[in-house]
Amino acid sequence: MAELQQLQARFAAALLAPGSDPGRLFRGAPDLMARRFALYRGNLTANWERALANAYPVIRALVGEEFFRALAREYGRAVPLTEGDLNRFGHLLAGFLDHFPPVADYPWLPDMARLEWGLHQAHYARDTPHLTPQTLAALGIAGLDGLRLALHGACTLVESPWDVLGIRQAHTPSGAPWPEDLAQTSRILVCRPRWRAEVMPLSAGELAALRAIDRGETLGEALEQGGDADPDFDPAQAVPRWLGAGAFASVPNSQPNREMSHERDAAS
Amino acid sequence: MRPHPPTLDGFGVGLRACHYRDFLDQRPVVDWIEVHTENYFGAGGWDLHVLETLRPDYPLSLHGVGLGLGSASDAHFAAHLDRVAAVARRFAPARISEHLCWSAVPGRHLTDLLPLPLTQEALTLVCARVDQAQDLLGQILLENVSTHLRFAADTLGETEFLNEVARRTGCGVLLDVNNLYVNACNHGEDARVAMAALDLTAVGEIHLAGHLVTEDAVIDHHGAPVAEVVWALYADCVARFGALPTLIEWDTDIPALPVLLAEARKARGVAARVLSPEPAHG
Repeated sequence: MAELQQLQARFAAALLAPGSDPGRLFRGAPDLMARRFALYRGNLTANWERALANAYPVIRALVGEEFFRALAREYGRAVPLTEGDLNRFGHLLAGFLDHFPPVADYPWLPDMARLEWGLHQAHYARDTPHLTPQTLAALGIAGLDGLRLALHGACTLVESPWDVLGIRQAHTPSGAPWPEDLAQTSRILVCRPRWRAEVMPLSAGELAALRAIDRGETLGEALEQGGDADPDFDPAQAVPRWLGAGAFASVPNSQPNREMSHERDAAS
Repeated sequence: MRPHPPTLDGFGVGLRACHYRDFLDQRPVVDWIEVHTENYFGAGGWDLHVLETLRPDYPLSLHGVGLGLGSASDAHFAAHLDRVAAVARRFAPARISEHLCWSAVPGRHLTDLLPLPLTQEALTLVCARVDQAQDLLGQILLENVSTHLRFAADTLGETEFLNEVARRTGCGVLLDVNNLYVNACNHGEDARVAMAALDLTAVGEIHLAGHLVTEDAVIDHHGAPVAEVVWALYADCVARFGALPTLIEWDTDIPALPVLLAEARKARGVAARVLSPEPAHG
């Protein structure tokens, strides 16, 4: 394996170092071969850019094509793609932006990346069934308090001190205006009720409650924490809203209730 | 279960996301469809749903672009192969194919069909990897890639290399006629000589695509109609290998679906004229 491994290692190293010369690895005039080698370098960055643009359309619109291309190049070099699935390229962009000096003047950019990655992930999430109002109702009021729910695999909770939702809306076809005050807290549930990934703005109470559910606390405890975080929190409104968004996986993981819910599902 | 036997026949087009709606609404008439396997690596969602919906209506070819059969590093191979196998289990394709190339070094996937040094060492590696893939997937086809470069270390020609992999492993060869032409231009090789040297029984599928002529190289960009010179080469190819399943590939600046379907009809016409040269009588 020695020679092949060495040739590929040299090829890869030259690919990642612009301006470097792959040397006399190739047949033909060295100048021409260096220019042809650069075509592979171009492919690599073009693939990075396309994959990143697919996951982060709003960030691309915000920073502009040219800057985005440079960002894709810097990110791709710094954060190696470790699998042959380009749809996973970009999963560490938010953390990269946290420490990327050129965007220091745009402190809301990393959270925008978190939001967009949540949407991207939701698009590819497993099609497991959502918890429906019918299943929940079948458990009966008495069973609800002790129920432990799980967020659906397509769902992510995002909280930011910046109005990332408003900024994103200014980049949708709705043509919403640019937010007047960027320093507005965003609380968001990313969800995929059917095939399209969506964002749902949350109140402070809703976010606190969903976080508690996500931590594995019972529905009763979670709703209580929602009320603690936000005096206006109304479980009677919030729960149906969450269910409509497909916020939860269908099988409640509360052991005592599991059998019962299965029986009811089968009967309906 | 599946309505289609495990064979491909006739003229196919690539199914790309921008044409999902056309396919879902109209079920356009085309003999078969091809997808890039890696685009269906997700756990679920819209892409998989669309392919699942269309699958009963079209024989399917899974065409991989990321396995890297010639990557010296083992780091990515087995995991990638498992994901290909998972897609294959889900969609029961009529055909699975990959490229004669490499694509990763330890710790980094390079997301491209990179040119393989054509050496005995690479041949041994690729054969072992094809065996491994076929143990899991059944017979695969291996495609000749276009390259901008040939290694000084090469000791084999591409045709010789492909023939030998096919002979040792029993895999098929997917002959990309455009790639053959591109390499002929880039490396001063003769496409017709290469075609004539390819094992007659190994070739099982043909790819056609557009290319871009630049000052430094001819680039296989899949972003234009098939060039006239490639159509002529395709006619020779049909004359030598007979009626083989043929795919029109178009991956950049993808046109409206009817343009793609017209290219597939054109391929059918070219093949028909070669196979039955007598003019039809009214």
